[in-house]
Amino acid sequence: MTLVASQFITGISIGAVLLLIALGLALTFGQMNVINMAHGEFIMAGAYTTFVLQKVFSDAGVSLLVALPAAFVVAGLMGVLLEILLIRRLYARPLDTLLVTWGVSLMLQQLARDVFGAPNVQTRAPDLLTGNVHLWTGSDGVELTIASNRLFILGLVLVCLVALTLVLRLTPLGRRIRAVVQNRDLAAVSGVPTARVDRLTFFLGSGLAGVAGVALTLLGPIGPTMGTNVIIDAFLVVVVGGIGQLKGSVIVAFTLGVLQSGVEYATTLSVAKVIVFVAIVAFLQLRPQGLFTVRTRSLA
Amino acid sequence: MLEISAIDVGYGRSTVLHGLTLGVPGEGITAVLGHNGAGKSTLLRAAAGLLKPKRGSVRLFGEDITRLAPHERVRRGMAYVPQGQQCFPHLTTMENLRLIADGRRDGAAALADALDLFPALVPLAKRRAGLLSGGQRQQLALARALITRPRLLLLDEPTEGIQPSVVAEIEQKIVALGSSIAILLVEQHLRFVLSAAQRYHVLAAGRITASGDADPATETTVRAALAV
Repeated sequence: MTLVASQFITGISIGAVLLLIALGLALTFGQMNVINMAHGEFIMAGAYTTFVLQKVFSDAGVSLLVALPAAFVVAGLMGVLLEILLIRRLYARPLDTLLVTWGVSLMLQQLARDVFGAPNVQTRAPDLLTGNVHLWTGSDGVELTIASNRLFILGLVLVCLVALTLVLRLTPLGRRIRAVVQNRDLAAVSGVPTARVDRLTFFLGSGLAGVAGVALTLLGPIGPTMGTNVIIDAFLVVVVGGIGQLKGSVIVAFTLGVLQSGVEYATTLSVAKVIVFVAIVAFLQLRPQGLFTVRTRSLA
Repeated sequence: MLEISAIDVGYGRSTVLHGLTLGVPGEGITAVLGHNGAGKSTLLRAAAGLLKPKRGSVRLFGEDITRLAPHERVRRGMAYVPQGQQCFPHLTTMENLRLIADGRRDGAAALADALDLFPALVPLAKRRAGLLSGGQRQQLALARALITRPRLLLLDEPTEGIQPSVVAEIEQKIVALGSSIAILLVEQHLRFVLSAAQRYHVLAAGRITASGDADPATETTVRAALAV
């Protein structure tokens, strides 16, 4: 029983990381349908922002707290810049967008190598986030624990999720973003400045990638290719979750996390990856539109 | 007020409107009649800014708006209610309206005025717009357009696909609006057009083939023009 609970908690923490890296993409890809291959590099930018801030603030806790908003702004601004310079010229040309942003992704990786060096670097975690948090002791004496950094990430993803949901549900910007997703032309002729809404959506989505980058510094070393390593997982979560809905990504991230953790326990990491991928392919064969989808009408 | 001069408009390589010229005066209802595929909706989409003319110009209050984005035209006093009772289906009725009222100085008052005009929407405020009936959605679409306090309203088949009990109400509202603002109306219902509008234009294959003062007495002439 404790074993199942332990694997479940591991799965939830894997899911939390997955969701955090996918949340920004759920906005830019899920809501705007932009395939931004450089999204992973915004995650990297968030991670390096933490690294740089640790040079400024000696206290790891302070630098982490400062890094969260700073990474959000840095990555968000990079996203806006990319949107203004390239992506907005390529709307409705998904293949071109994919290729161009992939090129940007390679350039940003090289830039990171030039500035920070090719080898991975390590950031310091605050003392509070090292070690384990004891959750429960089972009747068989087995202790159920969760790594405190993973608990922090779980909390962070919940905060991001709630904040994003509130922004989308309750603010004028949220209403505009949802309106543009549901019917872009109707939004435009209703007086919604769709280009500005696109830019702000891109800022939010890219900013969230930056926050994910900060979280990833707690899990291991950071390097120029760290974004590439996680971007495929992020796309998977959004595609399987369904375009245009956050709840799909949330369910899928945690389901994949638990599935991977369970299969990994029974087999090995590589086999678990293979089984999860096969499950995703099978699922998409049955439901190509993903778990949930927003039905939109075109202005015909 | 709205002057459309010699515009060519189309989709991709095909041209739907050929050198079309049309003026809409400052008040009253100007109707555009024509068969399916004549280019009526294309005309309104071009006026609203969703389609950019390949040639020619569109002027609003004397200003050239040919290259302006749709939301810039809304800011200059134009509102467009497209065909098919379109709404944002996953937003509630109230969210559909607040979306337009947000950021407008007179937003709250304009929203209240729109709800006064369409009181049937009040009890539906929290319902998702996608769950409303066709008639309710059309009232929502009109209310949304009116929140922008337009001086020119483009209406594309506002009574199409709506239950007859609501059609009369919507027609009444359109006639009432026509006394204070200018309306460019695309409508199939000929008798309503001739009784409500002041002017009509017949559109066929992307060109204006007949124009005149609208009057129920002219029905035979208009039918003949439409039959050509």
